[in-house]
Amino acid sequence: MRVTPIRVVAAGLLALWAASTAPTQPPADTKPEDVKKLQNIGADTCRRCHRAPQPEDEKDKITDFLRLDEFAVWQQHDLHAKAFDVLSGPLGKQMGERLGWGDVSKRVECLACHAVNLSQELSPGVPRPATTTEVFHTKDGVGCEACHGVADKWFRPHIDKSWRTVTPEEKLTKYGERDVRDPEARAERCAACHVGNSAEGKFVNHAMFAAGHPPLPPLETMTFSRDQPMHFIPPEKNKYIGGLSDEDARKLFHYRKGESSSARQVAVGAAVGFREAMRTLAYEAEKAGGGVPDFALFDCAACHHDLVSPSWRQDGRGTPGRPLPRTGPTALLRAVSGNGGGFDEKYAGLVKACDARPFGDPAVLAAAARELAAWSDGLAKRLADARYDDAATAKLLRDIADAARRKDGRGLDYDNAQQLLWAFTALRDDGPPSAAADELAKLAGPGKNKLLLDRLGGTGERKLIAGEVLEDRLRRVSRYRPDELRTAFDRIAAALK
Amino acid sequence: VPTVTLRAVVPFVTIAAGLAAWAVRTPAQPPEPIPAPKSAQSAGRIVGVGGCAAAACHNAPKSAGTAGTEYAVWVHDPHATAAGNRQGKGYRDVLARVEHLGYTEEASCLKCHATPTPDGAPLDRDVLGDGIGCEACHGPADKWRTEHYKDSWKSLDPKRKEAEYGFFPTKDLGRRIEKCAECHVGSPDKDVNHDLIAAGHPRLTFEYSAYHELLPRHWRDKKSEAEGWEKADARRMDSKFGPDFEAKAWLLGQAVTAQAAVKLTEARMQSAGRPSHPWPEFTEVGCFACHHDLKPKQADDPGSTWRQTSRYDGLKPGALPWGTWARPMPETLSRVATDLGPGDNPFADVATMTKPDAGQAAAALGKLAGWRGRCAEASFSEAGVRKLLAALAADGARHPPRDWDDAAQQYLALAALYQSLTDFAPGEATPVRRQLFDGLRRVVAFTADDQRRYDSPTGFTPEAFRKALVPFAAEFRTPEAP
Repeated sequence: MRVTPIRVVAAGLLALWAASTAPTQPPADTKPEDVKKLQNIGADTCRRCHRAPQPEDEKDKITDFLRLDEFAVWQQHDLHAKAFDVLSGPLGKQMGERLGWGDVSKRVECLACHAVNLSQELSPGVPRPATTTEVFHTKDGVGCEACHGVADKWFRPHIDKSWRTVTPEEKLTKYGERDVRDPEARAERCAACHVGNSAEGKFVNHAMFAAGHPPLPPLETMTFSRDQPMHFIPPEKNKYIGGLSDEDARKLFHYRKGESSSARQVAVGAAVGFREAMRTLAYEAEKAGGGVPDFALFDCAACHHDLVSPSWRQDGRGTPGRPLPRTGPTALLRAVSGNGGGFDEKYAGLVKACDARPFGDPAVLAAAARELAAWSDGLAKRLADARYDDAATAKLLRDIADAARRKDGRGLDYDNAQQLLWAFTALRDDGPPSAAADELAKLAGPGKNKLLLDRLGGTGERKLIAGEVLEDRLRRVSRYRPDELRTAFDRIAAALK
Repeated sequence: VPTVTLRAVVPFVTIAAGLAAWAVRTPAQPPEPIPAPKSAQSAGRIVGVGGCAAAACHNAPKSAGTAGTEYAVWVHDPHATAAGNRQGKGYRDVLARVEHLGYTEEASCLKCHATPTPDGAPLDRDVLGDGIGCEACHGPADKWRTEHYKDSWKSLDPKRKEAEYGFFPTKDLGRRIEKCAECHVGSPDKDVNHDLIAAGHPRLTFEYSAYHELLPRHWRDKKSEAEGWEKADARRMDSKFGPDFEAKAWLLGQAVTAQAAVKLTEARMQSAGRPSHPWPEFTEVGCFACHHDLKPKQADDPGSTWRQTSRYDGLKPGALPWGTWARPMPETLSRVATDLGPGDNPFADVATMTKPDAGQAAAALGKLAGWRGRCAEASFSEAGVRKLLAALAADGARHPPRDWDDAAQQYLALAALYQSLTDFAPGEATPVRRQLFDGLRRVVAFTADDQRRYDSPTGFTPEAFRKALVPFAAEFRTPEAP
């Protein structure tokens, strides 16, 4: 279906009018009736155009800009499409029984990430948790609008080519379409579920993990984007964006020619993932009042390890018996921040809060987490403006390799190793063939004598949901040895020179 | 004697409990002292083992194992080697790792790793070097040292000996267990909390009858007689016990241990939140509820997944079970041997506590006091021991233990009762039964390798323990407890 420009303009005007009369702050919760009035939502609507490119689309150079098979890629290969269905699978049923929740496909705690919260997506950027299951669009699992924003207002205008000339700010504020070419916005959306966003009701608590929810692998937004698999044309290969002036490419698509968009995504993603972890930590710590914050906020392996004596854990950072928060990996964060920039001082505040008593003094912990969130927010914004030309990208690669080879005696844990390796691979894959790339290929893959780090969704033809790869992942985590990572990156670093 | 060897392995089985707790018994008292309860000892001064070790007294120049050689026997007792342990790396490392939190050796270690002084005053350096000396258990000797060898002493009422002279009544079995529990379970000013354990102090897993069995005897009882000591003096307490001693010691040990555990809980809760008393206090809950690798399920191995179904009534996934070491046997007794158990579950309220509420601990203590009284009066016939052994084995063969602590406590209970049974009737000790115990022990034993000592039951599953108990239950089955 193609829409004539005149109808687009009309729809646009209508949307403008709607936006101008809308209250500046959305209501605390959207009523189910309001959600029922929404039009043109759901992946079926998108499917009409985004299933497969037609010959005339190529002739019209539409496919210079977008693939037009986005729906098909998502539906056939992207695990997001199965997100709702898994709630009724064996693991979903098991969790429902163990938690005493019954049907988990009717629990807002689960739907928050396994479906599209329309009330949230009506006002992207203004967090509000759902209080009723009726405001969720469940049919698609994590469908198009979970990331792109509810299409009610932007569905009609976005069909016209002129939509490409609307600024991301206008798309968001007037139409509710989120600009996921913005590395920060994209990472923020990934992190909402893959790290957590308590303000939106997206938080896997300890009871849910204990009942069987798979652990959340560390978020590396470039790798996650690539392995969805990618349903967009990256700016470096995008002929339309390539044909724009430098100014327009940057203003409209966050792209500066001659730069690596992957490097920026890796860097900004690391900062944003950490920021969201800190925001959720602060939110949950405040919620705990004077009590103990939820155990899921803390490093799983701080407690979950067989006891052995002597133990390397007793002489690590912090105080034995006082677990540190599950910040997500920080080695990549330090690498992209140029190794520091005030991180260590702020992080020391968090450690101190956790040393005060087991699982921390909630008020002090929340304050320390807010400081780190502000710090990483500033970092994300700085990195979004940094230039990732060839020299800067090569430096980032070296910094990541160095982070993996830390020599201070403390090994990197599995999540840190995985995130670093993912980030390194995402950057290296963009570059020309090299000795380092060959070394990497030898190490990153599955199989014996390789670094025991798993790829998202497994390595076979069929992508596997988290529950299916859980056992494999746990086995890899328990067999992982930090020394192997170090040795491997010694060879990679040598090859990089 | 097979049974002796059997009990001797118990400590290795329980976490290294015996050895570890012996070797590195470290009570810990956080820096800000909490009000100590009125000590059972009257105030007095520690004179040191030197005062006891005269050749004419307890260090007689004859072979160890006869009256007068108590000091020579004690020298080989782990309590004596505690002083040497203080110089060891393990001990020093623990202290170094918690010093920045305000823990000091004086306040947190020496109250158990040396002879405690009644008023908490520092010991003289010489006496400190003695380790855990005679007076740690028998009471400060300054008032009774020159009295206790007189004839008049023997006719003195034990209550007066304690009240007026500070001589502790170790002959009263319940009081003796209390004395052990002060350090081996913990007490308000002798608290091995999670900070110390995380820093490397072994966990405390006290089961009285096994600990008692393993001590080198410096007194006369059935076992020391078997080892060549002269016949027991009729006035000596242990001789009042016949072959039911092990069964009775086990039962009373369970009650006194539970009391000590809940008293410690109460004290911790009363002070919870002060810097000296961090809360949550994780030694209140089972170690292995949290401390286990997250292991995948495999064909022949359930990995960690057996933990996902709650084995404690009403406990939600990911919530922590209280008192896993103190609870199992009292609760099992209430189910399978109601006349011996505490009845109305004293732990029900404590077990559901998520926030410190010392009032609930106090209520539990009320119920436990009555049970302890009944345990102190209990006596066992051979048939009674046989019946309880059969009932516990049959129950364990039906229900998998809730966790490793439960399984280890069951093993220790069965070992104590078996020993008592063979004390009644030596013919009951057979190689087949010995093998059954060996099989059971393998299920609960910790593994270790050359480099590392594992303080986790890495291969343990409740189902494996239950299965191992099936032939065991068949072997000990009686008509009364089918």
